Amino acid sequence: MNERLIVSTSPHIHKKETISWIMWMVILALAPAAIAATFTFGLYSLQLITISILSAVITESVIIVLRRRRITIFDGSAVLTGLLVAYNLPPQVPPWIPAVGSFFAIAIAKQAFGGLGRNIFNPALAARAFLLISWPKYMTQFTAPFSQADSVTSATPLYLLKESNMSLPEMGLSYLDLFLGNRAGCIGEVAVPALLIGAVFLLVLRIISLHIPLIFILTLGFLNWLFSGNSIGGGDPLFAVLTGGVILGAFFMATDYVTSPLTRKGQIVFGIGCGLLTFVIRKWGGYPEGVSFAILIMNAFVPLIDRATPPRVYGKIK
Amino acid sequence: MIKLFKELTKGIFKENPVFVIVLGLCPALAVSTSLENAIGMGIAATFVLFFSNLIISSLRKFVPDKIRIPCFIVVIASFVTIVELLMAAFAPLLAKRLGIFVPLIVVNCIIMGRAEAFASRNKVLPSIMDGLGMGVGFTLALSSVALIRELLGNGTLLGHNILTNFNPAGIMVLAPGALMTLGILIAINNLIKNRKK
Amino acid sequence: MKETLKYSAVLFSICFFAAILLSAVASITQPIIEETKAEQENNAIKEVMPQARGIEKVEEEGLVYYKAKDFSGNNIGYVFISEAKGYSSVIRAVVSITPEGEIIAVKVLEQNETPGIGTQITEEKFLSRFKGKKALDNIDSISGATVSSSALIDSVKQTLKKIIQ
Repeated sequence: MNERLIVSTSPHIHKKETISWIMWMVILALAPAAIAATFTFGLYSLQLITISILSAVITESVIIVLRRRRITIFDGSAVLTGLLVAYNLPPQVPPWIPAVGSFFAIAIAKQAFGGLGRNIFNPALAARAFLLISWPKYMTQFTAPFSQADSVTSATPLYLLKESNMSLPEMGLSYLDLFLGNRAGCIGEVAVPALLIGAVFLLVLRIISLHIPLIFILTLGFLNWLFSGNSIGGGDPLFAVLTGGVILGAFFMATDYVTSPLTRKGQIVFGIGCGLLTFVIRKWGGYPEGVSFAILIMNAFVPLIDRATPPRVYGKIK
Repeated sequence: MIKLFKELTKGIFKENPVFVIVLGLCPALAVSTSLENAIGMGIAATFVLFFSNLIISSLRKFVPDKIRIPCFIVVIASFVTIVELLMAAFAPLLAKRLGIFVPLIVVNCIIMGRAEAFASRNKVLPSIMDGLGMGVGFTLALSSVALIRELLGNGTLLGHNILTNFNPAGIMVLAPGALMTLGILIAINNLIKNRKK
Repeated sequence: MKETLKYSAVLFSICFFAAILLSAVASITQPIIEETKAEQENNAIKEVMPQARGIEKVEEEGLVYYKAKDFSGNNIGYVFISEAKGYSSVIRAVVSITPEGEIIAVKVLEQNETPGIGTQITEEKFLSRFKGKKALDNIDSISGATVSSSALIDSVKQTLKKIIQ
């Protein structure tokens, strides 16, 4: 949170909320998605979430002891990172995947950069990128929802679109299926209603603002409407927004305080960039899904965006 | 004698070309995917360093200051070409795997850097020692990066299966793995140095 | 003026000695390099056509391929090398075919594709799909490694077509 002081000038408004309070609220907001995941993908996904959180907390504790820093394990940030790492995994990965992923998120993406508030990249997304590039075999194998016992492998809608150019009815899905999470996907990304409940909760508490998620989703939808169809303006914006990790990414990961711009103007630029890059990666990239890479790339631009969009100094007239 | 020995050892730890001076990173990142490549690259670079330091140091009074850079480059490029030819003849598989990075030794900053900073200002014997030490330091640095990358990224060492029942992390043999490994090793190196003080 | 002359003389003499040294080394190593190259090619051919006893290099219309013969000199097939631009590298593969144009075996000589994804093209599981196929037959690519695998398939088929003609 030190970064905030460098950019904005006085006067500062003090609020009662603490980092720790915010973190726990975000975790609470993400809880419905965990319940929905357990319901769709079975108890195993709950185990994966637990392993992920445990690994994150243990890694954080060990590193903090080694670095002889103030104990910050209970501020919830490690728990949140662990939770998000698990949400970005396919539901049937072996248990060591979340363990290694959370270790990477905390040790390399967060602590190696100096700890909470100093990381350039969202740790959970960095871990996802690490896992996806390292073990593509596990990270691209999805199971059909409601098939816990026999865990039928199934491709995600985005994969089907990219590899075989299938339409939604050909996949045997409807928009309602996509919305309710009745499709193959990562643990935490499929249950859109559960994610939206959490998002509204955070919006009401004013922990996140609508700028980044709304602009992100609108940009992505608009570009898809324009270019992804057979003719200009014939694309399917709803499909693009409801599939992949758009809702999870836009509301819970692109809005991470540390790795997103500070000013409203900057956040709009950030949102447009995320939407644009997601579209580009999905359409031309090597992977069917681009949300996490888009957010990571935009994370790298945040310092530049912040420099280009400084807040107006109090009392200064243009 | 002790001074000569110091010229030899400084390149290995105190002034390690990769970890401390942070030179020659291009080959250090690119060919450290396997231990065999790293050792091969290290030996090639050491050979060039040794002979270029030897020749440049003995020619230092003969070569006028103004045209020293082109002269050094001719000397270095000649030895690199020799290495390239020898490698293609006697270690064709290694030559194929190292590919473009063998001719690229010409522009390796360590070699030009040692020629400019050391060999052109010192007597022949210390220059040879400096070249050898820097070469060994470079080889060791490359090998330690490669050791970690090959082990984690492929589960092998020198082509032998070491970690069975292990799912190698593909990222380690790609560029990000190289940068992360190098960063962590430099950090460890700095940590040890700071503890010593 | 005098300085310039001196500089040129110094640089010239260094280059002169370098050239002598290099040509000496080159004249020693050149035959060995050629020998190892030929040996590598032979080994690759042997691997996809182990029963071949005599190999004859054929060059026509920019195409290079090898005729394989058995003990009594009968033609038992052809071997050729196909090159394809993959996802991140040039994939070179050696292919053996029967005189009727049926693929016997394919082996990847060189590639630098994405580890874990594109490198699946070197696995027997994929390469066995080529067996018995002809130039116009359909060969399935690897899902998830479409770029690398279809590049190899296309190049093998293309070269095969040309050789049959």
